Amino acid sequence: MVLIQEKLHKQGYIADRSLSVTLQLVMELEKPLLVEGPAGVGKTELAKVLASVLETKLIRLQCYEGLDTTTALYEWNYPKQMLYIRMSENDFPTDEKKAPDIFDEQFLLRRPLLDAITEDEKAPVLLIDEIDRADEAFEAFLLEVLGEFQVTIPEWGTIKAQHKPYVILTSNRTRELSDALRRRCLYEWIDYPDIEKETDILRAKLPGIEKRLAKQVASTMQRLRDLPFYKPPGVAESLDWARALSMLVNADDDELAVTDTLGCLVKDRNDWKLLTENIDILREVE
Amino acid sequence: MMETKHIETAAQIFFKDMNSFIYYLRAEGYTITTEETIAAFRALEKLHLSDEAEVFLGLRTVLCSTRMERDRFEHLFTVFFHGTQNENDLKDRANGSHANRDDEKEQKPTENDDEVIETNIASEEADATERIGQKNSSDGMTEKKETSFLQAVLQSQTASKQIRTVSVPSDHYADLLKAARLFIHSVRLKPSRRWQPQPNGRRIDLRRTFRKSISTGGYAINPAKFERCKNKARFVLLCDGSRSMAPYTELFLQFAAAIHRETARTELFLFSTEVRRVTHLLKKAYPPHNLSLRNLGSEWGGGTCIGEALTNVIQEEQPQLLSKQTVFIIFSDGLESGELIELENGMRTLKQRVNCIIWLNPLKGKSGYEPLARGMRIALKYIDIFAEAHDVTAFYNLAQCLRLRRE
Repeated sequence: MVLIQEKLHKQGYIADRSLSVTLQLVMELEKPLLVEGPAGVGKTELAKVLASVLETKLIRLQCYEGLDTTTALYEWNYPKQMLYIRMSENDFPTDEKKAPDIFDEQFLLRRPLLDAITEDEKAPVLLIDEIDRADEAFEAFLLEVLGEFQVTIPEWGTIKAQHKPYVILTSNRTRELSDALRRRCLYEWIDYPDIEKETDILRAKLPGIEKRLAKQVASTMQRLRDLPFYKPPGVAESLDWARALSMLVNADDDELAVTDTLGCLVKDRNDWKLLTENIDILREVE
Repeated sequence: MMETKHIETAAQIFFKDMNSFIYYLRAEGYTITTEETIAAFRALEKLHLSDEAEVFLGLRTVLCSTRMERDRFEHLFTVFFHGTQNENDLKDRANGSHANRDDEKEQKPTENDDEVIETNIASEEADATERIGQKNSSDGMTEKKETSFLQAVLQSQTASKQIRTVSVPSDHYADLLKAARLFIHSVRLKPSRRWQPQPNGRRIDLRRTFRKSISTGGYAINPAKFERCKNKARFVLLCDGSRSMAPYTELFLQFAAAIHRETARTELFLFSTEVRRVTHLLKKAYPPHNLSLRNLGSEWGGGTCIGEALTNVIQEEQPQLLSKQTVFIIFSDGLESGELIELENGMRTLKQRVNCIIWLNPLKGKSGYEPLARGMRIALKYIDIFAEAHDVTAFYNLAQCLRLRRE
């Protein structure tokens, strides 16, 4: 477990023990991992880093409302099929010449799920990002992929994965996922990091940052997250803010102040108002 | 050699305990399938059994599937392996479950369940030490963990000494089921913006029409159509289990069970000084079995902290439940004993996120009642429907209230 923790650290991802154990089990048990947590805590990044650690391909399927199998799994190239049919209209099949097979591989448009299942070199990391944005029907479709690591194309039959991909599903909990999907996955919750961990993250991601500044940023972020924001700032916001502060430190312009960096922290009008009312928290960094 | 033998024995005991532990989790509302049980044992093969923290983290990953389950897991793990508030109850579950799982599912509460015996923590701790045999790690980190583990047990024991089981009769269930059906059918939501295939839809789906035309040589004889999706309503019920509400909760809980029977998109939370999701208990609530709420602690029979409960439900527990398809029903007298600002913030957030807020106040049915309580006055600004809920007729009238609101 320590080994994977170190490897992740080398890639700039600070993982706690819980996450290391979970990733170990993902690899050992060959089960998909459902990662939930607030926005901006590194759920998507986890899949990217895992692919780097395992030196394998990352295949990403970004979910959205209305996503269906034709965008996620495969689609037949209809114009090409039609053209082929038209071209062979006067070309009647004989004993030697077979009828045109319009469901041949050349007419197939591959999508991320099929790519992940048919990968023949090495098990890839399949990231199914923000699954909560997809519809329930798509979630039901995913059950076969996640449970059996196989997909069915009616014209071809069932295709089973040669190398089971490491599947990571992320969710921001904008809607509830079905029990059936949850049952097929291991589960991990990634919360906002504590001060120490956030300081480590900042230092790992921004090598030039001063230790004192990183700690101050982490400490301020902790205090900000206690405020009732509609969208509390995540680690991504911490990184943006730390970058902005580093620029402020290096800039010669005296008129620039910490209070000019609110846009790095909040992305909602009401949150902006709340932060302005509690601006003293930011001034402590100055 | 001796040490190896000791570890093997401990591992065997642990594997036996694991089975009981899974039954225990199921009794606590975890839906653990056989496949997950197998996955848990496979995980144990890969984990260091001598490292309790690793076993805990691994099992949590495999056996939990929601954040709420994950948050409760540490407490349940501690109680099961290191001590329990109700020794007899736990032993019944652990042993009885092996013999007959169905018996356990249909276990009915008795009056003896109402008061629970405190256990001797020290003896439990000693017992756990002997049973698990995992204190063989010599590093300081493990020793530190042991201390915090014991502290967690002590804290949890002190925090919830009063464990109750509440049995709800089903005397008005049939009537309330009718009322619930009426109520559910009265909820109207806007259709989704998304389109889905529908034979009698209004719009032609060009992609599917093109696909279908292949079988007819490229001629679109039967155009495929689609229509806007219908949104399904979700019902989130927050029931005040405080002392002041004791005479009225039975009726509401029957109503909640009836709604749950009609639609699976129902969530029930109980709150007093704490809040807890008890939806899984509704699954067993169909007649002839009475609804039985087991192992209730601070979420039953104390003061009323509505604001805190709302904040927990909104921020911590189930933010995904709150959308524009959600009908949020609060059943309370509004006698808030917590921070009023928290109640106001909670109601404001709720108003922004859900479709409709219904506040059922059983006191409203009394003549001369006016919502003058501080909590009630604050909440009124954000409530869409403020209705009474002291008898069956009041629940029948809910559907009418929804219709009137639409008009």
